[in-house]
Amino acid sequence: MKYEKAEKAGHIITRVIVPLALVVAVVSLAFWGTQQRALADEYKNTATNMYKRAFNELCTDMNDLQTALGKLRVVTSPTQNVLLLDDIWRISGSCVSMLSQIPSSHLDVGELNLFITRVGDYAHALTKKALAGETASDEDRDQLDQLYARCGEIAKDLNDRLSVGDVPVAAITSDEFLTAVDDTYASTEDESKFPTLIYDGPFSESTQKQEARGVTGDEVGMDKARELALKLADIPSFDSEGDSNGKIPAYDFHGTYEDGREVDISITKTGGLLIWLMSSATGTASGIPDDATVEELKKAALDWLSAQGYESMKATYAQYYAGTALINFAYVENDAIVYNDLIKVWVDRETRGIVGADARNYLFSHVERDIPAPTLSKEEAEAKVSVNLDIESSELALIPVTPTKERLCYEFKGKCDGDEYIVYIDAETGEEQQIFVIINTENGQLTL
Amino acid sequence: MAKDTGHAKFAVTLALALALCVLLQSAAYAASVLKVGSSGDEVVTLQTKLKRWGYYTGSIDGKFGTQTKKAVVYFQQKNGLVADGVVGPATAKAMGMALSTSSSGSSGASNSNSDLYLLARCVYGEARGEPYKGQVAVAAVILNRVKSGEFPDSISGVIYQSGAFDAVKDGQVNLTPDETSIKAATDAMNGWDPTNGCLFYYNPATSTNKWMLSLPVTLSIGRHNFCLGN
Repeated sequence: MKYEKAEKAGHIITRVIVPLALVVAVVSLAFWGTQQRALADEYKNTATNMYKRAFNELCTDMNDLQTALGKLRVVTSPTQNVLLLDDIWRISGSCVSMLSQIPSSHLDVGELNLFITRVGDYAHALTKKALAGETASDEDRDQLDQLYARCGEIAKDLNDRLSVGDVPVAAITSDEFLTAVDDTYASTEDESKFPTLIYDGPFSESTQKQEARGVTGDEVGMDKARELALKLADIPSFDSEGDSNGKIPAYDFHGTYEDGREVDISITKTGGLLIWLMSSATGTASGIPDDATVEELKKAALDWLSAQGYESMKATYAQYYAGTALINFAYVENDAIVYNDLIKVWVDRETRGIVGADARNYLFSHVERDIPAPTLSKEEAEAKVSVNLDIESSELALIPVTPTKERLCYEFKGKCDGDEYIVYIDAETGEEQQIFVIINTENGQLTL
Repeated sequence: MAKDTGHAKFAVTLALALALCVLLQSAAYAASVLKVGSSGDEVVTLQTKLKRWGYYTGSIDGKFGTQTKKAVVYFQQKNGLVADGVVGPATAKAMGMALSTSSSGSSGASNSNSDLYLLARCVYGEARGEPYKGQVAVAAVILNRVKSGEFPDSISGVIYQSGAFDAVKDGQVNLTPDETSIKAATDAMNGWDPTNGCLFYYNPATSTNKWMLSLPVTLSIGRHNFCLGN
């Protein structure tokens, strides 16, 4: 009897409860799976829609770009010319932005990106030329014809892809959106897929391939460089060394101070000049210190610069973070501040020691210059500044107006409605060359 | 009979396993909530908000205790929400709070908009554990790309470009960066470029990108090779 009962109970477990539990488990698993699937589909749709939108806008932008370039070939009025050039600049910016939003890697679209950037950059350079009263040269017209043709081809290609639905949704997981396979936009070794543009702008070929003009002198060997580096880093020996052939070929050294702080230093192979020195501060202070301390920190940096042979440097800006004061110094010649020739120096706020320096800007731009005397007097230049600006100080400065061109300007610093501005007036023509707004931060300070 | 018992055992095990699986999965996918016993930055945010609005009088200690629960109930009653003392999506929304959906990767919201912070996150995701110089180098490569015409023209454009960074693909870019990576990003923003103008880097031990491997190596720092490009 007892045995029978137990057997019956066993039957209930195997015949009823277990299958029931199984069914419940399977049903809930299926329910959960369906939900997850629906969610995944929703995410995928959202992502695909965003990609498609970006691609559609890219197509529209390319069409607009070609149209504007076409109009440019027949325009006669100077106003229309400038408006069109400005349009091209704007559209190319939008193109680049859309291009960065479609799922294609640098390998697929890098050159297309560069081309579109250069079209905009070139149009901007032409705008400046036109506003300065120069007319477009034959060379410019030739280049515009080429651009018109190439943009037309690209616009057609993109639109074709769009119309045959070749905007692969699979691209979400693949890196080949604009298919590097057919090499539409990747140049081969002997042949570029895009016309070369000759002009003066930040993205032009000549600028990107710019040589370090300030790197001069004899080649130095590793031993000589090490000797210089040991002295600069103020350390008895290095842990490791090597060399690198970046934009400025250099010897690199790495060392550790007794207190465990690390130091890295890089010396040019040509001339044995310091490119950069990087260590860290002993403390962690941040925030702007009092005026007396600011002066002391500045003096420490200036003394160090002059010991390295950098005379005639002027502090322009300082930042205070991670226990350091980072002070920017610009070269001064004939009373004019040369902003391109910039050296940054990091001073330890506790020890007043130098824990960092970066001379790359200086090495790239410093050459012997023939700075002219200003044609305009300071008063004449000041008359060109907006009446809304309460001028507080003024100076002469050589500022970059294009990557290869510098202009001597009067620099006027002043306030308008509590905001600080710097206005540059060309010392020869009286034209307003540049306007800056000063954004004060917790840790930054103009030290002009 | 013996056969029957075998079946039963197997079936019970299977059923339990399946049920457990379902339970675990749903737990993992449920949006996180704040309730008694929760602690951390989100609780600090919660307590700060409640205190500012006068619902909470206790200390802001980042621990969800009975006092915090009372304050939450009070807030929920006042705002027509289910007064259960648990901060779920609805309550969080009413408070203007974002709850993280997973335990890892909640980021400090205060800096999330700044380029510097994004740069630091990418450095942390890509190069934590590398020598300091190597971390600055990764940040410098990103900034060199921004300056190059071949790449998008903003820090976020470069970082989120398709296929550009592994840390973006696998979500590590969303981790909270440490002080070292923030300092490395700051140093790079201030102009330090240990790579001297490089646009690419890869880990030779793990990279399978043939194009990348074919580039001349400018220098190596830690586990990464850096290249100027072609």
